This record gives sequence, structure tokens and C-alpha cells, in this order.
Amino acid sequence: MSDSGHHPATALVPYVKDELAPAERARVAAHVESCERCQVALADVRAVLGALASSPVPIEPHWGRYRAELRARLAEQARGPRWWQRPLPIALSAGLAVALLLFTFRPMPVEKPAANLTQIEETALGARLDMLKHYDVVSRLDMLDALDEIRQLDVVPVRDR
Amino acid sequence: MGEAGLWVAAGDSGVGWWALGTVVSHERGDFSDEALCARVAAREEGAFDELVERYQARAYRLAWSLLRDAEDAKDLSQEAFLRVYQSAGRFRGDARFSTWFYRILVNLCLDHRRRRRWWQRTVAHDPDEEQAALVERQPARDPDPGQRASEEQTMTRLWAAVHRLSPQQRAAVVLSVQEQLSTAEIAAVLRCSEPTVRVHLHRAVQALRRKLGP
Repeated sequence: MSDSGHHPATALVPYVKDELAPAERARVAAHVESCERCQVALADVRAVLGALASSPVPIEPHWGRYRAELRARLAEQARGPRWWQRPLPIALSAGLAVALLLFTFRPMPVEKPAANLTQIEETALGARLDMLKHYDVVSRLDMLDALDEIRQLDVVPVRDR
Repeated sequence: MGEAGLWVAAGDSGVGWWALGTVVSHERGDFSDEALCARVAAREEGAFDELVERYQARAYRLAWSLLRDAEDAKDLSQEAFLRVYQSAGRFRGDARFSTWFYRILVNLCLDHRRRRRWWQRTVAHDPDEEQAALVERQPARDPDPGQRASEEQTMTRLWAAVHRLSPQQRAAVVLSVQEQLSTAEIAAVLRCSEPTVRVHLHRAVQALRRKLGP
């Protein structure tokens, strides 16, 4: 058999590590012997596993300190959560935060526009109250408003006066 | 062996316990890992410390191999011990303690990596480069300095490639090559089938072979 049949590709790592049951091992060995493709694959597996055999080793921590930290964490865990980590304070804090947000972004009262034009005019006139300083002039202007009526005094019927 | 005992399954409660026999002595090193875990479950003084001392180096190295970060490796290996302390009573003894412990640790590391991945993408952080100065190399077999340097380069490149494998593939490679676990044990740690582990290892080897060059 050359490059044909079922290639036991996924069995090659266990084969190299000598983990296969005898029957499967014999089957894989027989196949590899007659299959060039699997011979190449097997060489690849050996090359990779060989290269990985020497692995980086981290610098180890100080084990005494490591265990001391672990004991501290264990003690902290045994104490249970801190008071501010308990459900009630968390819920209260969350509620307070929501209340603050609602207060900050509450809808502000908006001054509604005047319902009719008279009110607008009065508002505008109110802004010009300094005109009252010149009341005598204003009163004369009022007389000018009535000038037409004054001119027609002679033609107006007596009974209407 | 100072203590005779038997693991008993507690039915639906899902809790196992150690039925204590005659306690002859509590000398260090007398207990199997499983027996020690039972003593931890019983909150016997000193049992947890002894278990930690047995596994601290392995736990730290495995975590470091999966994370390539000294601080994270310390933090998560300690966290794994804390989980063991919390749930020692639930260890039923139907698998080896080491398998159970590795499962806790590997899950913690893979979860941690999953959470950290988005941040790494954002800042293009390369822990391999950062950790290079912290890494000691195992002594090369060949005394020739040139070949030794070349082997170290190959090893560094290859392990950097291991770091870029999928989490499951990387865990399978580290457990297989570094921790010398069998395919069946890796399957137990990763909670998957043996054929799945074989596929992980096969694909990992294919990816790593390309990094080795001709």
C-alpha cells in the first residue's frame, strides 16, 4: 500500500508517545511502513514533539511568599464579603445613585408662552416702563391720537357730544 | 500509609467523603493526593498547606505555560487552590486528584484568556516578548554554543507559536508535552473525548510543523 487507504493521522501523536493499545499500535505501524505520506507525517510529529521537549521554564516565585499570600486570600474568603460587598449596601448604593441621577436630570419647569396677544403686548410694554419718566410727552401723544376727533368737533351732531 | 480509608459516594447528594479508619500518624508525605484532599475537606490542620506544597510548582508552571504572564499565573494558580479548598468535599475520587485539579486550573486559565483577548487585540500586547527576560531556558544537550543558540531560537519560536494556537489545542499540547499527560487524561481534564484530543494534537502539530521550517 502506498499513500492509500485510511491514514491514521490523528493516531500518530499517541503512537509516538507509546500510548496506543497493542492492536491499534500494530495497525498504525503496519500502515506507516507502507505509506510514504504517513512516514513524512510521523517524522513531522517526532520533529515537533522533539523540539517541544525542551520548554521555557518560568522563574518561580518565592514559594514562602506565595503560600503566605494564598493563606491571606483564604482568610479573606473565610471572612466573607466586606460589608460594602454585601447585597443590601450594594442595593442601597445603587438606589441612591439612581435617585441622584433622576434628581440631576429631572424635567425643568418651562415658562409657557402667553395665551393671547394682549398678554404679549403687556409683557413687551412692561419691559419699557422707563417710558413713564417721560409721562408728559406720552400724554401729549395721546392727544395727538385724538386729533382727528378734535378737528371734527364742528361737524359732530350736538346730541352726540 | 498512616491512614486507612475508603471513598464513599453519597448518592444523590453528590458529595463524597473519606471514611476514616485508624489514624496511625499524620506524618507529611504519608498520604496520597486523594487522601490529602479528603483531609482538606475535613478541614484538618496542615492538610491544605501540604497539598499546596505538593502542587504549587506544577500549578504555577502550567498556568504560566497557558498564560505567559507571571502575575496571572500566580493569581490563577492560587485561585485554583482556593477552589480546591472550597470544593474538596465534592471531590468524589472517581478520577485522580491531579486530573481534577488540572481541570480546575485549566478552566480558570482558559476563561481568563477569553476575557483578556479583546484587550490584547486592542493594545497589541505581546506577552511573549515581555516575558522573554523572565524565562529561564532548560540547559541544551549540545554544548556547542552556536547550535545551542539555534536550538533556543527554534524553541522560542515554537513556543510562541504554541501560544497562538486555539485555547483547546494549546491546553492539549501543554498537558501532553509538558505535564506528560496521556490522551485519556487530557480528555478528562478538558472534558472531551479522546478522539477530540487526538484531533487537537494532530492539528496543533501540523500548525507547529510549519513554524519549524524545512
